[in-house]
Amino acid sequence: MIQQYANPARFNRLAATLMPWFAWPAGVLIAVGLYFALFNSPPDYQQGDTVRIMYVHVPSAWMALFVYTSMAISSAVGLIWKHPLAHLSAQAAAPIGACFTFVCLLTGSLWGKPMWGTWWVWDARLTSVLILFFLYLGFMALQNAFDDPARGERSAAILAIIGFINVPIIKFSVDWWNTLHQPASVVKISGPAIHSSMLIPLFVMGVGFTLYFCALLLLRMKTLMLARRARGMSMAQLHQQASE
Amino acid sequence: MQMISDFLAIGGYSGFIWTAYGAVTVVLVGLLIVSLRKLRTTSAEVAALEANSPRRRRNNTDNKDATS
Repeated sequence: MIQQYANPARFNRLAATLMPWFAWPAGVLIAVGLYFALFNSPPDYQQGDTVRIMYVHVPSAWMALFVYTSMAISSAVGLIWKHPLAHLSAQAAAPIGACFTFVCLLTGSLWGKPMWGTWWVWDARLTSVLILFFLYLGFMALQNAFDDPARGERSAAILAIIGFINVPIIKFSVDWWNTLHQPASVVKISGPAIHSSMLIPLFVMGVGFTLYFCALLLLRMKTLMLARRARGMSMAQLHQQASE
Repeated sequence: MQMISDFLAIGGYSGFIWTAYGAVTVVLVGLLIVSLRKLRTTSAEVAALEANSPRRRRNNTDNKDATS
């Protein structure tokens, strides 16, 4: 059933239908989330107003992991079932994930300076997220490193799958090692250890970021398909010119 | 005096907070703009290639797209 969306025309129709359902709610949710985050949520009893950085830092971190996971799954689907859209989806997702990871590191640093007294420490959480960022960059570089796009696709897919080992390491780094970074307070077995006045804006931002990712993913996949088409057409034209 | 030091304390933090929010906005909006621009230029490229090859049986390729 999923195979039928391998057809570009069908995919474009589906993407065009879904796009407004992702894009508009993303804009609205992020706007609402920002309002709550900046104006309508309490300062933390220990961290004061710097806790407001959490509303962009934590959803970015979630997205960094979520996008990487989606990329690893697409890459596996691409390698195993050779679904034509799978590699395309991983390729379209990588820059978005890299941006989220970059934002996560940057906002974390801006939160760390006033609260920890340092921009950066080489603790397990921070280091593993930095490695995630390099995995994204490596994926993008590897993809473009070959003359044959199919080889680049396959090599990058293998990197994405191997690199997936880093995702659980990031998640559990705060439990396995003594980190300066605090342990999880939202996704934990005993339930969230965070008040709803902070949890709700956090989730609103999280859902907003996820929808932003979905809309952008479709847009970038469409672009990659068009680019592939353009490549095919210009090659066909060259052949035609050569045979004349 | 207390008021001034309070203000400075928040002011000291607001630098971090606004920089963080500014960076998020620049990166996420920037990525959106770059992606939209890339879509536009690639669409234009495809359109130009299509216009450039009048001898290509376009109907034929369209049919192939719809049935494969």
